[in-house]
Order: sequence, then structure tokens, then C-alpha cells
Amino acid sequence: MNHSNIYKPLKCIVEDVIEESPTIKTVVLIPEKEFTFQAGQFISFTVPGIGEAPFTPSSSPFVSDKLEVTVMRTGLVTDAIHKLKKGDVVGIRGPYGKPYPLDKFAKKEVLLVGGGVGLAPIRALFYALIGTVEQYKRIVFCCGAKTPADYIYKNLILNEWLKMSEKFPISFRITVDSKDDNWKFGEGLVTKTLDHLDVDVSNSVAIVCGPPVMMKFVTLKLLDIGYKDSAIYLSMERKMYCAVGHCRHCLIGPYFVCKDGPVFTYDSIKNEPGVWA
Amino acid sequence: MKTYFIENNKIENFISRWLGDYNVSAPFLRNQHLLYEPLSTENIDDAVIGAVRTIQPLKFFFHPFQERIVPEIANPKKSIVIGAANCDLRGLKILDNVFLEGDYRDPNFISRRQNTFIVSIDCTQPLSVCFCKSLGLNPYPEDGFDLNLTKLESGFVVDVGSEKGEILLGDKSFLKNATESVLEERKRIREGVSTKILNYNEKFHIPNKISEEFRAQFDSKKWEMVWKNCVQCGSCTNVCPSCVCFLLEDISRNENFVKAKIWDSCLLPGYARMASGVSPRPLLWERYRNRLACKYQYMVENFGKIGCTGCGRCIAGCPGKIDKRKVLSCVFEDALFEETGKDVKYESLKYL
Repeated sequence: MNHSNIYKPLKCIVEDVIEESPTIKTVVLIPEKEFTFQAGQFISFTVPGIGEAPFTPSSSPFVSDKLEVTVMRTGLVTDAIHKLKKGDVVGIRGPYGKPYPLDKFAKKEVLLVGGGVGLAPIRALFYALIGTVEQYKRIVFCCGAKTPADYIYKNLILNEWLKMSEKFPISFRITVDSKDDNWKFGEGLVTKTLDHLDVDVSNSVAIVCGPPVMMKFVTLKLLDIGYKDSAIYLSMERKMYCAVGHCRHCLIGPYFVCKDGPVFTYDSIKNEPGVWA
Repeated sequence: MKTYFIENNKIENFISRWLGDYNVSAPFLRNQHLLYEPLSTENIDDAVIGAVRTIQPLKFFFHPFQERIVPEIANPKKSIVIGAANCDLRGLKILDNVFLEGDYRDPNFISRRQNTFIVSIDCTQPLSVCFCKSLGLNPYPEDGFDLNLTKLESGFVVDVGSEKGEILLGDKSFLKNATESVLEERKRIREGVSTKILNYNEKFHIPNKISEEFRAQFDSKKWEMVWKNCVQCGSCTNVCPSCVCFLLEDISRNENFVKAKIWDSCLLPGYARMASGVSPRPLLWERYRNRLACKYQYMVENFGKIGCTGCGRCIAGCPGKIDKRKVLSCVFEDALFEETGKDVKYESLKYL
């Protein structure tokens, strides 16, 4: 057979498992061969003998010898991922799907809205944006989590990224649903960070990633603020197996999350059934 | 396309030359249904060639119920399927769209497709559930086969549809040229069968522009009623010649990855349910509507053709006796009034 098998994963060694929150871990993988992706694209992650699930890498797309995947424990495969230890062998396939169209963000004010584990793809995107930061008018990063303990990448965001606002046109709006005594930032749902937003909506794009209910209310609020349907980029999630447009599990109406997405502008899917499931 | 004729007393010899070199499957009558079974010199007398479609769809030979996909199946034995009807060939085109013609090609499907020869048939004895004509398709193949056989009174018309078909013909020693009168007889049979299928479906009304209508009627309240006998068994998706959905199972025991593909059914509640427990279609009627939306709207937008081929297997195989033709007639009755000016007012709900 001279065809390469589209389902054969690339072997990876687990280098580290970082606990981000009580339910979220980041797995650091060393792929057997160089592996490149663009922000927004996803991989299918195999735990041998258990199964596969799709995730968007959370590490920098400029790094090709190491890959980080941030995973919330919710089911069979994610449970197995949480049990991985340094040295374990896993597999990845991909990258799949369309990346964030960075060229369309050029000269615009880029609004990032991430909630909970939805910060994972946004982190990869943030690295990509920082790498080409001079192309964008400014970046506004709104992020939220349930509690300070649920905040992923807390050290990175609060200690490293916040400082970037001194050098670059980047501002942060940081919130938790309910704070504790040590929390120095905002309190309230992530939608609250969109209040009194000082962006020029006619020259801005909004990138939203989080749980479905969060994406729904953020989208409604963005529309309310004046964002156009076509300027709202949503990271859609669906049950998925093949990731290559064959198995049809991930359809939203006639659109495949795996190959037409996973990022869709709101106007392209708003009339399809079950968008916010 | 080259066309020949072979007499009834020579067809057995013609076909038995393939035994040995190929795994040959052909239809046999079992409990009043046609089933594909392996053909051999012992049972060749009993094969029923040139009647109607079988119970199993053609996809069984290309996209089997379950198979290993990593590592891929290496060099499957050359095989011949005799007896595929046009509805099945149309279904296989959808499978080609999915597994061969996108950015990613399925390794098992490629080799099965290369190693399988298709000898199709004209339907001469259509079933009451057949409705290919309602979808603009014919009960006889026009392309997509290697050889096609049309059963006439005294023999079979043989059409050669591909180079692979030429290989099956061999030295042509059993063949004659097809005369005008033979072709005339075939034309009469084809017209007769077409009329019969149209008559079977006289009381059903499926709109011509069904994909557009589907979008327009997606939120029709009727969808909440028409599914009510569905017991989500998945029979309709299993027997459908164009249902492709499958899941992947990882069966690796060590660091060498092993994966299998297994059919899935969009009627099942777990089909689209995510790990969080959330599903875009938690209700059965939503899943029923989705199956038809996939056939009549999504596949049209994905591949430029309707997924349904009118084989009627989902009707015949439904334990709830749901007749999709009634469902479609009922949901689209207003649209049909627009299209035909005829008040069809199909009193369908009470039958559903």
C-alpha cells in the first residue's frame, strides 16, 4: 500500500502534566516528528486502548517540537488523559480544520473573550497575535472563570501577559464569577467585562471561546453592542470521531465542524439548528 | 458504451468463469427477500439475477459494519458483486464523495473500491416500497457499473461500463451482438417497470426541489408528529445505501496503534452527545428530522446530490412501519400546493 493512512496517529511522549485547576490539566507532549499547526486548528488525541477526542492545542503555534493540550476532565478519554504520567505514549492526528484568519484581523481591534477551559485555544491564538502584534490596532483580552481556583494559566496571565500592556497596545479585563479574599481583579460573569467596552465595533473582530452557554450570552451581548454577525468568531464544539469530514458526527446543519470549522463566524451558522447545544 | 447479448443457457457458464479468481457474491431468495451470499458452482443455479435490489445495500462490500482501519486492510482479494440495482449505484456515489473525493481518502475504501467489480442489474420486479422515480432516478443503471445485466425473456443484455468490465467479459465467447429487437425489448421492460414504480407512488407527493423545501419547512410543527412510531433501532440507517456514519474505536494494546471503524446511527441518543452530556438533538423527533435533513438537504449542499436513492429499504425495514414517503408528503403538502397548484391535502397524519 502506498497510501498513507489518515487515521494513523503520530506517536508522542508525555513530557509533563500540569495541573491548571481541580478539573483541568495541561499535557505537554513531545511528538516523534516535528508537528506544526496554526492557531485555531485542532488535533485528535489518542490515548491507546481508550479512545480519541479532539482538542485545540493551547501552546504557541511557533513551536514545532513540543505541543501542549489543555483538557478538562469530562468523560472517558479526558479522564484517561488526566491520568497520564511523564513518559507515557499517546498519539495525535492533525492538524485539522481551518485556522483563525489572522489576515482578516489585520488593522483591526481584536477582542478576545475566553471562559474556563475555553482559554486554551485563545492562548494559542494570543501567542500568534503577539508574534505579529504590529499588524493589529490593539488587542483587548476578556477572560473569566468560575472562581480564582478555576482560573487556568493564572500565573502566565497575571504575571507575564499583564505586563505586556506596558509594551504593546494590549489591555486585559479579568473576572471570576465569584471571588475569594485574595482576588484583586473583577467579579461577575465574563459578559460583564464587555460593559463599557471602548472599542470601535465597526473596525473590530471578536473571538469567543468557552462553554456553549457562555458563548451564547457573549454573542448576544456582542450583537447588542453593535458587532456584526460576520465579525464574531465562535469556536464550535461537537461530538467528533474522524476529524476529516467522513463520519458526519460533527455537522451543524450542512457544515462540518472538523473541516469547515472549528471556528465559524456567527453569520455562517446562526440559522442552523442546535447552534448553542 | 458497448452492448452485447447473452442467451439464458450461457449465462451460468459466463459467470462461473469468475469463480476461483474472485470472491463472487450474488442475490439468493431467502424468506421472500433477496440476500447477497457467496456464489459457488454448487449454488449458481439458485442465484436470482436481474429481479430487484437485495436486502443488504451495496455499501456492505465497501464500508462494512465494522473493520480495522489502523493498520489498514492490506490487499483484499479481488471480488465481484452481482446484482446491484441503480439505487445502490447512486448510494455508492455518495460513498465515493465521502471516502474518495474529499481532502482525505479512506485507505480501506480505496483498496476495496479498486479490488471490487460491480455487475449491476436492471430492476424487472420492483417492490411496493421502491420510489426511485419519485426522486428523478431510474430503475436501471446508466453509469457507475463495470457490467450491467438486463434480464429479457431469452437472455440478458450486457452493457460494458468500464475497463474493469472489459476484463470480466474475457474472450467474449459467450456473447452476441445486441440486435435492434433485443434493445427494443429492453426499452419496453424499462418503461414498464418505470410506470409500475410511478403507480406504486401515485398517492405520495415528494416535491421536486426537496432540498430547498427542506430548509423552508425545517421548523414545521409536523416534524414533532411524524416520527412517533420510531423506536430508534437504527435499522433505517443500517440498510441505507448512502448512510455512512461511523465511529472510531481505539483497540490498541500497546504502543502500536490499532483502530476500528464501526457504523453509528444518528437516531441513537448518544450519536451527537458530547462528553459534557449536552446534545444538539436531545429529542427523538429532532434526530428523526436530522436523518431526513441529512439525506435531502445536507448531502445536497455537501455533494450536489440527494442522499436518498429511493430504494425503500428504510420503509421495508422499519419495525414502526414508518413510511418515509408519507412523512415527506405530509410535511411538504403546503409546498406541493404551491408547486403543482393541486390541493393534495394528503390525509397522512392518521396513517403515520
